[in-house]
Amino acid sequence: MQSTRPSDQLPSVLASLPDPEVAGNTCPRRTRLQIDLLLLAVEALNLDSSEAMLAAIQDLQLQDLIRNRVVLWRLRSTNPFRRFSQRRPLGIDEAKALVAIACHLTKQQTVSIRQLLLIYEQLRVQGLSVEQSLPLAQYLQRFRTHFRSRMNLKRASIAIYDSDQKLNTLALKLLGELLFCTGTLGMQRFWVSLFDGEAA
Amino acid sequence: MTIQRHYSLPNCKLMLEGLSHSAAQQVGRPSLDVLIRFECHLMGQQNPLIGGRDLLDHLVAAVSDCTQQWLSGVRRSPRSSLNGKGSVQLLPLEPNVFHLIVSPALLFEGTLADKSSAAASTDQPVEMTLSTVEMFDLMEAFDQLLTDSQTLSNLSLELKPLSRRQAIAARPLGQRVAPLALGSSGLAVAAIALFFVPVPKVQRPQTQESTPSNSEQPSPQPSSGSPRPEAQQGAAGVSLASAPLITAPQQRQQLNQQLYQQVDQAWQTTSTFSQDLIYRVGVNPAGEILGYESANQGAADFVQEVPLQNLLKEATAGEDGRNPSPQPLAQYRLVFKPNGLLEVSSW
Repeated sequence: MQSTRPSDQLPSVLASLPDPEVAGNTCPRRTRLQIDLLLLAVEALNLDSSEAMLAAIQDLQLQDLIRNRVVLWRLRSTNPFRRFSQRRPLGIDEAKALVAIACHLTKQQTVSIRQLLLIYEQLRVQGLSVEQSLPLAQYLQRFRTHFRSRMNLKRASIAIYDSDQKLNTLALKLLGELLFCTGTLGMQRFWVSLFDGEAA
Repeated sequence: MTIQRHYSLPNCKLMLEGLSHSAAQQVGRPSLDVLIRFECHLMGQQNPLIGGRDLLDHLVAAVSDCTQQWLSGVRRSPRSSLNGKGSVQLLPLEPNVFHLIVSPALLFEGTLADKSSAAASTDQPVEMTLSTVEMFDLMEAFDQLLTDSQTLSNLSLELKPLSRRQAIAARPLGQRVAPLALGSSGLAVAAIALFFVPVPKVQRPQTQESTPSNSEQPSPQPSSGSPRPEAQQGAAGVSLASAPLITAPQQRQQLNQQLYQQVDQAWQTTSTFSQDLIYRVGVNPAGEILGYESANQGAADFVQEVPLQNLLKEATAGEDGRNPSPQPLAQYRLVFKPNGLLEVSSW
């Protein structure tokens, strides 16, 4: 019921995100995958992120859309490439709520995201392995573990990440996306990019 | 009074210098409405990018497009130059490297050459690579400028996702052509494969020849009406084996002649066979061919070359309309020779 209410009653944080012109007012596959991957990267960054996500729901007044952690899990599981994917659509408002939560948590981690990327840049310029830096290696390790335990590795789109190297590349790309989400217009930019090539 | 605005981030500093429309001294920050000079200082670059409103507009658009393309991974076609003067290109090269190219037409003259070595040419576009963090700082500096309502309030940014059609149009030609190429090459392969498959032989409907078969040969005593089950190749008409025979020698002589004449007249095609074609032919008392069978393999193979099929007459139907009464037949051995000779003798 919550997802069908008029948008003028949406929590203020979601009002800044435009409604994309997509068929059926539900999110395409790539959108669902991208949102879930971003949240996965947030979790790899912060050990307490599952509690932090619930706290973010309170901070952002999203209780009407996401009542408890079960609902949150079900929304994230609309990602079609999850091991236990939920065959339910992800409404636009629900997707906005997930993006708002991700960006909210990201902003709290701005400093560490930036540091990790600067470390990576240094290592890259010097031609060194990412394992040389402990914080970076920990982030990558946690991301790989989360990814392998939650994604359905038999799906073709997921099976391409069959090596540590490829998962590291994905994790670093997502780390960059997290940095962009911390920006002044970062949330809007990320939201709009989710529907690139999908709009009418 | 000129106003200066600075937007500073660790790797990028923007400086805008301009005038305010409101003449009266305002409380707080005056609004910057007309841009005179714009500078973009990027960390690690020798020279700042210095230009006017054109440079600013191009950079804002390029940064926005590049960010969206990098975030979504969906290619977009490059924007055409905003006013034809020059362009700014900013593209994600590798996962964490961005490439910026600014054409010199957008830059104030002399701003490049004054600091760099004498060899620097103002015709060369300015190129630089940015890391993810530098790219973020560049984007963030512009985003702070865009959200600042007291600076160039007419500068706006429209964020919207690419439509399906735009995304397809931006794909490289190779990607767009691939499905077409795959389809047509598949068709070609199928055509080549089918070329080696033999053309199926047209089989005349068996019913015409064999089902009402007995009716065709009004001859001696055609096995009344029973369709020939083992339709032999090179045979047609009534079954000869079971037909009653004409035995009168005079009649046989006459029918022999009749048969020779009608076959000889009808056989006009050039022969391509190299062996004798021998047929067993049944003729009714009126001289009509009611049935024939090939007597050797060549006769079966080349039955299309001899006129027997055209000369074949259908046996007249019997009283019940289906099974003709058996007619007596005179049976002959008909030989077509490769040299064009025809022989008729008794079977």
